[in-house]
Amino acid sequence: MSKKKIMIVDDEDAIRLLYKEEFEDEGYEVAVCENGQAALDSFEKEKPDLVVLDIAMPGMSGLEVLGKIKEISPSTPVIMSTAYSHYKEDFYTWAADAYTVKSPDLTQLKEKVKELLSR
Amino acid sequence: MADNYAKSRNLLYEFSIIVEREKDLHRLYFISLPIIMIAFGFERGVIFKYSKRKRCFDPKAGLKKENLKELHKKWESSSNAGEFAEYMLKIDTSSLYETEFNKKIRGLNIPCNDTSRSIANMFVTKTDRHLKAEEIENKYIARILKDMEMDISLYIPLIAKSSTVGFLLLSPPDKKTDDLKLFCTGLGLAMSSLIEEKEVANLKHFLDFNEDDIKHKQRLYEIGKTASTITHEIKNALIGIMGLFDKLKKYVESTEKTDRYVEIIESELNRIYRFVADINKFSKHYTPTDKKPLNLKDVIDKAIDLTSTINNNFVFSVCIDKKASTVFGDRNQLEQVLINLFKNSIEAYGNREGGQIRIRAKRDGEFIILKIRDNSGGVEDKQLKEITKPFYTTKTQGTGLGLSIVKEIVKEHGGDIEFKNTKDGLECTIKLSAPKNITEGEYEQKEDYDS
Repeated sequence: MSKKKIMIVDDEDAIRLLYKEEFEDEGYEVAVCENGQAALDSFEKEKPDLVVLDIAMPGMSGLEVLGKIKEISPSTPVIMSTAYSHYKEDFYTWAADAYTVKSPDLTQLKEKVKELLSR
Repeated sequence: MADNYAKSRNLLYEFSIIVEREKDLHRLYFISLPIIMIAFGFERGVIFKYSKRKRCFDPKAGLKKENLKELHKKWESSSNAGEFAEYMLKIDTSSLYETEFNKKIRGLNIPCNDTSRSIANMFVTKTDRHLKAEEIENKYIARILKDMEMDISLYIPLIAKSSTVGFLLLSPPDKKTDDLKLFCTGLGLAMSSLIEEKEVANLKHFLDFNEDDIKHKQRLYEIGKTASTITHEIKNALIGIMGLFDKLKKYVESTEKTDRYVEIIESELNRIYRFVADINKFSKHYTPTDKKPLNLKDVIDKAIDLTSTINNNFVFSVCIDKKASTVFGDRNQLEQVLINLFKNSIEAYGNREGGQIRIRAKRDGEFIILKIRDNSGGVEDKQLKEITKPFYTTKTQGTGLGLSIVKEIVKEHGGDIEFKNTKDGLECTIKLSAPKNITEGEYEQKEDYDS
């Protein structure tokens, strides 16, 4: 069975690096994008099995990207990941498959990824 | 046929102007729904409003073709759209809604939790969709569909400036919707501006025009906005630093010196992280979103439980009057109030033995009076007014936000809070609404509708 591919969309270099290494260690293939537009541009080519999406990014916001991804590929699970928990109350985020608050400890995020990919 | 088409489009045009000018939210629903149904030939229609505060969809009005017989006749006999529009504005449209269905849905709040994902999807993609009744997992909406005898329906999101305002439910769905979508964009914008106006008015009423409260709130809002921008940047950077430092540790040769450096760096990073998280918590709005009758003892016990992880040498005594056993509020937020107060007492008392917190609750008419008293020695009298101000602290560590959050939550609950010194400590008196005082109509109705 081929490796599952995760797409990480975040504007912070350090976070992209951290997530990429951590998820590669878990045995996933990882594609990173530094903003929403880049994610949408490479979505067709990369065909990720799951997307981890930051909300507060310069340019297109994560919520907008979420809408576009759900349009292109409604069945691809999307996890919203952000420094705030405020957005959780935004009705728009409920269209996402999961919501995590960013933390240096990636346990929760990794569990969510695993759970969504095994569906 | 072509004439009818033109007449319908003209009607929409006439009403898109009226919609923009309408000042009453209910009239807006009451007029828009029949216009949409008549112009497009829909046989069933329901309009929902999204309540951000309650995180609910509230059905506001529903119509069947049968309710529109008179209007249809008038429409057909009108020589042009302008004549019909004029007529619509003259009549009292609320009489169309004196049906069993509209009585039933009055005050109904449909919580939009995970069960309505198909509806949430419609909002992020900003597109209307056809859904079968069986695809809707939400039991309230399912019930509405059943009552209105709707199976496959057209769902149109009402959106203004990318925020959710509500949605329309129409059937049968086999209509051309391009013009309708345009009309709905105008309707969404009109609803949104009226809702905003109403919210501002409510907020003013809520604060009772107490100048101090308004100042407190304004200050909190400004600080909150600035703080959240700063902390967002810091937190994002910290997550990278902490995660990567954790990896780096594995490559550091362990000696007495390096172990100590690693330990210091880790504990200091954790301290900044906690500090930032505290400020971040503060910068959110404490609008109670999930208010319901709560068992006061449960709330207090939970808060004591959570506080004992910081210090379990403190002795708590709780005494709740029978008549004060239930309080009306948001569970998480009221727990947060108590935890902050307890933490404050514990930190003020320090490491000595013999710390005590006494909690008393009694009923006073429509209110529950909660007194929380410690033996920490209290504060200087001149500090009493200061301690609930944001970033005011008498301690060496801490953000000075704990009691400010306490005040914000209590005020947002429509309550009151006061601190005073006793002979050996600080006493906090909190006034909260007792459930009887609240109109529980909407809860009862919701259950009725469900049954």
